[in-house]
Amino acid sequence: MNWPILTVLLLVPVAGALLLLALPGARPGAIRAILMAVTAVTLGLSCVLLVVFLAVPTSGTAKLSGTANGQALSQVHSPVTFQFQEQVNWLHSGASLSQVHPAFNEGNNAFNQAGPPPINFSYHVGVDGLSVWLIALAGLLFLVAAVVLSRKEERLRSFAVLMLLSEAGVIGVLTSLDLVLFYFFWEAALIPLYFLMIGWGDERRGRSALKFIIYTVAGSLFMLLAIIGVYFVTGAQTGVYTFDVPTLIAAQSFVQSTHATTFSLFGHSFPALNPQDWLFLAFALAFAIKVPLVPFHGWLPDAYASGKTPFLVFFTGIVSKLGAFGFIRYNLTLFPQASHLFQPLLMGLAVASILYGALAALAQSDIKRTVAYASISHLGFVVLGIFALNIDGLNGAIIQMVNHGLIIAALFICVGIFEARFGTRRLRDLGGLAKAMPVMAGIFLVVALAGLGMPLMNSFVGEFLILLGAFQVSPAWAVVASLGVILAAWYMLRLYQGLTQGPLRIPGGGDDSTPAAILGRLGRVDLSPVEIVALAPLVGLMILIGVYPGPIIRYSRYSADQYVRAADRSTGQDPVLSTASARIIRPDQAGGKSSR
Amino acid sequence: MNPTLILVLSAIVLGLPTAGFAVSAISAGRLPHRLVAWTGPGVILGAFVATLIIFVAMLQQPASSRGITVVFWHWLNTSVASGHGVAAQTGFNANFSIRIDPLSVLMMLVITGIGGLIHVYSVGYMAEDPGFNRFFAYMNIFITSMLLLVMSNTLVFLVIGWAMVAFASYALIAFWYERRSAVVAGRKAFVTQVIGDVGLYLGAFLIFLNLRGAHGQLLHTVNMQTIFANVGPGAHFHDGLGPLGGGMVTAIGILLFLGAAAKSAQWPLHTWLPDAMEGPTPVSALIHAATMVTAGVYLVARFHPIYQQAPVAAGLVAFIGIGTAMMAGIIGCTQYDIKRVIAYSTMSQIGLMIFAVGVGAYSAGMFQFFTHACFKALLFLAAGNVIHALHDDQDIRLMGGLSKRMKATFVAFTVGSLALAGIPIFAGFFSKEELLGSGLALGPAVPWLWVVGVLVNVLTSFYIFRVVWIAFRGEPRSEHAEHAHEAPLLMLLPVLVLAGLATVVGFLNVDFAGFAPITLFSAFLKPVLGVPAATASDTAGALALLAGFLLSVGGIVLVWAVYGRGLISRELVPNHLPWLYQLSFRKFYWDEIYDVALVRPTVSLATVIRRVIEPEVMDGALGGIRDSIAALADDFRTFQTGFLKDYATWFFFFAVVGLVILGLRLS
Repeated sequence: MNWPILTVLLLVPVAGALLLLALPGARPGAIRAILMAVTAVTLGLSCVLLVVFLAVPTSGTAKLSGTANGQALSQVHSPVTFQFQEQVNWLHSGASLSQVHPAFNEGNNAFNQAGPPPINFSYHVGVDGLSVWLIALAGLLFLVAAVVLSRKEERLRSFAVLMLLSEAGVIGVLTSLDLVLFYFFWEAALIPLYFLMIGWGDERRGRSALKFIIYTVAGSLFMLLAIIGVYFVTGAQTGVYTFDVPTLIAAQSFVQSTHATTFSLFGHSFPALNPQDWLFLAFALAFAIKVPLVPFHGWLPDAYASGKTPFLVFFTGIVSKLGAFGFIRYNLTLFPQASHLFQPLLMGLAVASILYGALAALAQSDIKRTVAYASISHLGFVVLGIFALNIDGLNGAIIQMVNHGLIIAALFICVGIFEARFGTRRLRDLGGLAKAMPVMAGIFLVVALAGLGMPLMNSFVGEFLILLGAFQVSPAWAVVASLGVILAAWYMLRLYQGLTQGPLRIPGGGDDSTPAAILGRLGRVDLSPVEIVALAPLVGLMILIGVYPGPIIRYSRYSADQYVRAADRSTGQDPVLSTASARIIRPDQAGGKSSR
Repeated sequence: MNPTLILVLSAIVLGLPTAGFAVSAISAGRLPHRLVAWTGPGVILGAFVATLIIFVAMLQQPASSRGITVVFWHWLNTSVASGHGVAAQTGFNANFSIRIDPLSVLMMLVITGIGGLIHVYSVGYMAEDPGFNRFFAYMNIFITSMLLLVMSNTLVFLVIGWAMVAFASYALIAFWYERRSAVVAGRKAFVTQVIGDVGLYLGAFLIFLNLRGAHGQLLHTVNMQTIFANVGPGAHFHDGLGPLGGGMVTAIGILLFLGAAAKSAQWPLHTWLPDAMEGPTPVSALIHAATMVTAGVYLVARFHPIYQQAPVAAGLVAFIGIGTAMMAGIIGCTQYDIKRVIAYSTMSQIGLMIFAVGVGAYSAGMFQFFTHACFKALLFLAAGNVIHALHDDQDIRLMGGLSKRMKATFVAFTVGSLALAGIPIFAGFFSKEELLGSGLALGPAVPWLWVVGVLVNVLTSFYIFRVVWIAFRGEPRSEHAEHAHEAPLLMLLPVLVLAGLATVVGFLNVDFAGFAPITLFSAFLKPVLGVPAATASDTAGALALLAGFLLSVGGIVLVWAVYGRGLISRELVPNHLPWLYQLSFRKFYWDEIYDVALVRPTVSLATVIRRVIEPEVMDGALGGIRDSIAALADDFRTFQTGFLKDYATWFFFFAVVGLVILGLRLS
């Protein structure tokens, strides 16, 4: 692959947004067609990426120049391998701007210069077995969102533009390999999302959007501080001042972070937190808000309840994955010791989210809020898998991120259809709708089953691996978490049966409430062809992944293994380096497929 | 056996019902009923034929080489190979492979054979139902799931089949979804099944993580044949449970049994079964008699290498089995819903099977499963004829006098009752005597568990002949009973076939008390299940036989005395032992206990979260922060113009300022 596919992937939605902006007089049909075309091209590109992605990566390098522990650092394996890397130095004091593609910058000795630390960040993108799936998921969900977006939507053009900008932001977050770039996209994605939230939705959307922005910005601020902190702490200890992610990941092998000092509290002695731990917590806070984990979830139910369906498709489907993605990409790799130190905390929060979300879902009377809390519960499983810190848990988390995206998007399309058809979100106003909408009931059943972790459907695979991974760390937690599986069956059936089964019931049933009379008054309310087209790929993938999950794992397992190894490093020892130190690393071997 | 042939045939066995499901489901009810009336039962009978071919091919082989494993596809593998500078890492790894051996073929024959008969019957029973196609879709997927469960050689696919069975059973119980009670019963069944599933998951985890091979290396496998091969005496379990002594294998046994208890409606996960009678009657026959509820028996028999290493777990299984058998028998004596009586009878009989496999009489347990599948499906289908004729009345107090109006059904139901009660020549006699004889020889608490098991006999014949007497004898007690007609031929034929089977299949295995043994059945299963560790002596066996027989007859005599001749007042127990009557009539209060102990606390907690914690704590804490920010924000309100370009300008302004400050600081 000799062309910069990731940059193209990033630019296509932006170009689409610009195109729409340049056509102020376009008819709704044309706007929708352009939107669908642009998202379809993005999906196509992400599929190309999947096709040419290497399941077994060649080894990668991150070149370090500097000293640590009194020894010179020359060439170090990056514990995590990225493919399709593109790097353009952006702001780089002390060296000229040069494009280095595909491998890392050769002969860059700026780090060795005496004097104040240089600022060094670059446009650096790349993917691994984690992000490649999330990019594909994003591509699919934005297309599905474009399909369910009605051409009668008010201010359609603005909606489409903001949607494409969010897509670019999401892809940027997933592909960036530089912390400054990452932060830029992280915030940049927020802006269109905020405007989508405040501009479209129910009457409480203003409050929801404000809540969302307060929470997220609070988390982001801590993350910004932490990004700067990582820069200085890593630099001070290794002489490597950079925002470049692969370099930072490699450099962490040489960062001292033993917990030599302790303090005692309530008669127990705890390790005193060192800078890495604080930085870990700051990143974790930002990601925990984004996921969200209980108790940082306050923004979610309101945001999910008041959003429009097309917005929710990608907002719930992919934006919520960015937090989990951040945990894997940054917390595990940049703070190996802290990841292990805080493993019980994060697993505890994950289990709390699973149970709390499930119980809250069980009590909701609003169908959208039921799904919102279900989402919290499901994402608790993802974080549980991540912080199991083993390959089963992490592979489970990766596949479950994809699964959750498919399921939650489909669930919101379904409840959105019920809301749109009957003008209510109250569970008790509706019932027995299978009589009126048999196709809807059938598809909704499949989606609900996937949502409750039905075997031979996708989320069983993820939950099984996650629970297996967690079980290896702590059987007790796995057992408690599996209560979430039982509760999931309960709340999902409550939702499904409440809507589709029992006596037929719609709001304002009128005088004659016999089923036949209601059916006659309703007319044709079953799924329209467009809705079936939107749901079909999601439902198909739910079954396909459940029956044959092998391909996803085949792509994710090497990356998962690398992340686990990255988190397992202890100070001064690079297990990767030690096994590979005898090998000479040639630049043309670096950087995966992009170097061929 | 030729692996390719077996692969193709098993693909047909699994594929045909799946195809039937897919066609009915995707066509969303648009296919003509007359077509589905052929394809629905057709695919099952096709699978039966394929199973028969496998069976015949198997019989050609010597007993020692009747097991074969074939792989369908690689499901997933999280392991990574060494290379690229790092060592290999072993993770979870599973194939979709199936096992064809005498045990799975026996199950497949029953599932597709009896299942096929029930499908044929359903064509008649459901003919008028608008959900005809949906019904056959669910029935077909149920058969697929059940076949997957018994054919799987991978623990994960066993779990998958296990849970798909639960789904199919949910869908069929809640088939008449306009009925509130059916919807609730379906949900109850499903959630109970999920509890059992979780037990299976956890048991699978323990096996996967802890089983060691001959050299002490961790095997990390979910291949059931590999597991069994390494669980023999001296098994290398990485024992993390310590003081229990073989604690790991005991824990595995108990966790697996949690799954078995949920499927087989054993205490403490039994309460869903009676409510499941909300489904159409063929469903009760298929799921709640012949197949699904016996999955627990299959599981324990299949995993007998583990239970043989875990005497504590096996003892618990036996104890729960016999306890459930007794409890369900007592409850059955006071119920009035014809299907519920049969349902409790099922629970009771399966308790006996679970008891048998718990004490190590695997073959006897499977034989009881086999005969029970015949006579219990017979009872349900015959009851279905009655219910059909009475326009969905299920209360035996509204019946009466049906023996004259529905002669064939009456004969069939009586044959089923005789078989169930264990009266000689009928199937249940042989299987139950073998079962109780083995129990006598092997039971952990001999002879007490055996005594309880024999006492169940008297209850069995009492409750079932009570139904025969009240429903079929005497005068009609309702308009519908007055005008009842015999069922149409399509519904009568499967019933008569089953009646024939219930009469003769017992002779497949006649081996007790010194009679000349016929051991076709147990010899067939021997390569998988082995032989019991001990058999009862002839004298003890003969005594056991006599006692069981006399008690069964005693039950019938008791019915005759109470309901036939009125020698004993019907009010005797209600008047003199009201607590016992209430205990039985109220089903030992388990529903109430679970409601108070589990359901209500969960719902209350959920409500507290929704009404208190979410608005007060989660939003409240934020509210304080938000209010102070809002106060601050008032001062900056002038920034909020509402125009995107203003925001963008400010964003870039501050970004640039920030970068400049950063740059100045650093350089």
